[in-house]
Amino acid sequence: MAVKRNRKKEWVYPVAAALLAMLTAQGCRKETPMPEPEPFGREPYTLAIPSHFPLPESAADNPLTVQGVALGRKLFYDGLLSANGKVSCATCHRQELAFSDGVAIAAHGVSGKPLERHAPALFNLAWHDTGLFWDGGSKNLESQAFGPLTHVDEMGMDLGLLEARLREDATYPSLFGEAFTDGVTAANVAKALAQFQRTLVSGNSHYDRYILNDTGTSALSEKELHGLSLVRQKCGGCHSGELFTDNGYHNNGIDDDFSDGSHEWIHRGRYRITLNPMDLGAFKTPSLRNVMVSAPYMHDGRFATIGGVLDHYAKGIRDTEVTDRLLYQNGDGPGIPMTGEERTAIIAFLHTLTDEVFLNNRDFSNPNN
Amino acid sequence: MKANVMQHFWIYGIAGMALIAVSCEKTEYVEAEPIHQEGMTTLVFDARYGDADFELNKAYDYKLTNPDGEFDLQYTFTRLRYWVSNVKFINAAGEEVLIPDSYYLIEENNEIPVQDGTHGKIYPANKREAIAIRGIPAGDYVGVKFSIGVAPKYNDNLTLQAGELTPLNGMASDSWMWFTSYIFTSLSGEMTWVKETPESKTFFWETGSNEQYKEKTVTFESSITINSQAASNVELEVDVEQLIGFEYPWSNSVIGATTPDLMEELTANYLDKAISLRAAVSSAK
Repeated sequence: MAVKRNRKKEWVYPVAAALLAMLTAQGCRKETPMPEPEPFGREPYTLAIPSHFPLPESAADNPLTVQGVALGRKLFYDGLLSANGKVSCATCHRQELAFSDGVAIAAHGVSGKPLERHAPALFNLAWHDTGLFWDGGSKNLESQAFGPLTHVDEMGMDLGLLEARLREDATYPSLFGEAFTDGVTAANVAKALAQFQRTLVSGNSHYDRYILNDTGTSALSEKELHGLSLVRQKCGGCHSGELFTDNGYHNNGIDDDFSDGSHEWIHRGRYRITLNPMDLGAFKTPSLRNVMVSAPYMHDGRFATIGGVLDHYAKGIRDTEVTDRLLYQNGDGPGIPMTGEERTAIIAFLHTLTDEVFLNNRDFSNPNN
Repeated sequence: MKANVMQHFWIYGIAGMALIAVSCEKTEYVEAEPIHQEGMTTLVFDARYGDADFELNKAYDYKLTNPDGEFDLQYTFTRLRYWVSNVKFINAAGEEVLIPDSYYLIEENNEIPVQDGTHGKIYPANKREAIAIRGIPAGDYVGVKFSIGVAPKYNDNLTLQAGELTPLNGMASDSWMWFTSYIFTSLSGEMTWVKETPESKTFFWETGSNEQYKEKTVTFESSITINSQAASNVELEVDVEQLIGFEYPWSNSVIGATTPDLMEELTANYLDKAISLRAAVSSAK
């Protein structure tokens, strides 16, 4: 009996398996083309967005993964990416300076020659959907990376050599394999760097703690609060919102001659991208966040101190057809009037935008140390 | 007992057939349509100079007539490269059949120093003017459409992959990195003003940017058949003498991102003047 019962049970299994297989087959046929299975171990990276920030653009073509971000961080700090093996992204983008380099015009690329523009600070890049570089010529972080990588006076790298070097390396091939389906490619170098840079969120300054919880130790002083209201009122046309930038392009009256057409019109600002005459001499609005640690200022680093910047806005603005009208706050004339007391308050407030947590965040520091 | 065994065989038989059915279903994912077999064709971009064959490093005479008068020029070419993309065959019903991932680099070039020679590396000399296009649905076709350059989706992000696109072959990098765009077309060499004391200068005529992404339609004289049982090819002529048709070539020896009007003219030279149909034919294999 026991044997018979077992046999009866036995034939149930193949029939059930066959039915199941047929059902599965039906299911498969519906989902053509078959989705690419996500390779084991690639985990989505969730960007921590401060609650008072707007939502960033999603980078649908290059979703953040834990592995991609980690790879990008390692690459960011690796001199292997440059022709002489010594210049990394971090050479000109130092974390303690909000990923800027502290000099007006850098000459620490592979050629040792001075560059044409000031290295910008890097943070809150996930919100930079209006173009990168001072004139916005680069459309996204992915494409931007090829600029400094290949520029003869920056990292001076041949992309073919870059791929060869990384493939020969002891650790990179497996790291690329974990982060991307097609392993080591120049495109994936750019994608990984873009992923890491999108994680550089700065929103934890004294000002932010005040906004999120305006009592107790996080309160701003009278003077700082006065500075905040002055900045919102006098500077908020461009340095707007919680990002303290509109990520737009403005001619802020630092020049009145745009006849220099050298270096493929690099001195003409946004105009060389849009060819709109009103964009002559217009450059991207940098954020006021971390401004006190990212001197010098302007696209060419011409102002060494924040005092120099305020002097310019108060009484140095050139009156041209293309000077942004937001700067005409002096009756009908150019300039942003401010008293000595207002200047002090503005500077006091700007100090509250320094994000020490960001500047010291070990998730952003050199992983090879 | 015997009946029991027979019963089992019957059950295993059904299970086996079901499994075979499963296998068949799976195979269908990769197999082509069983009734109409896809075919291939060859799209050729044959470079010419007027009535002559086009060759690199050979001097061609050019008679320039502009408001300043008549001038004798000579052109010697070192490079002709351009992206052909989004190829669509037009069937007899007027429907467009898009070839997926269709990004091809047509080129005839001498060695090119990579990144202006800073690494002592070269992009090798090459000649490529034929594109083999597979997987075209069987049918009769009356024309072909394609674009010169790279569609905005890919042109705006140099890390996205399609067809032969790559940022590594000098058709994206060099001087254009400050401005996200592939180089759509690149024609360069030396021009000589033939006069008592001849003068020469190099020229670099390039196009790029989304605004320059334009489509060309070529209509065949009679329809061609494409399927697994037919051989076919579509031959286009690219007349380089038409590409260099500018009013003031001498004073505009560099055309690129900072000369949008001239880029516009150059794009039109490619699409409206230089590229034309020579023949589109098919025959049974």
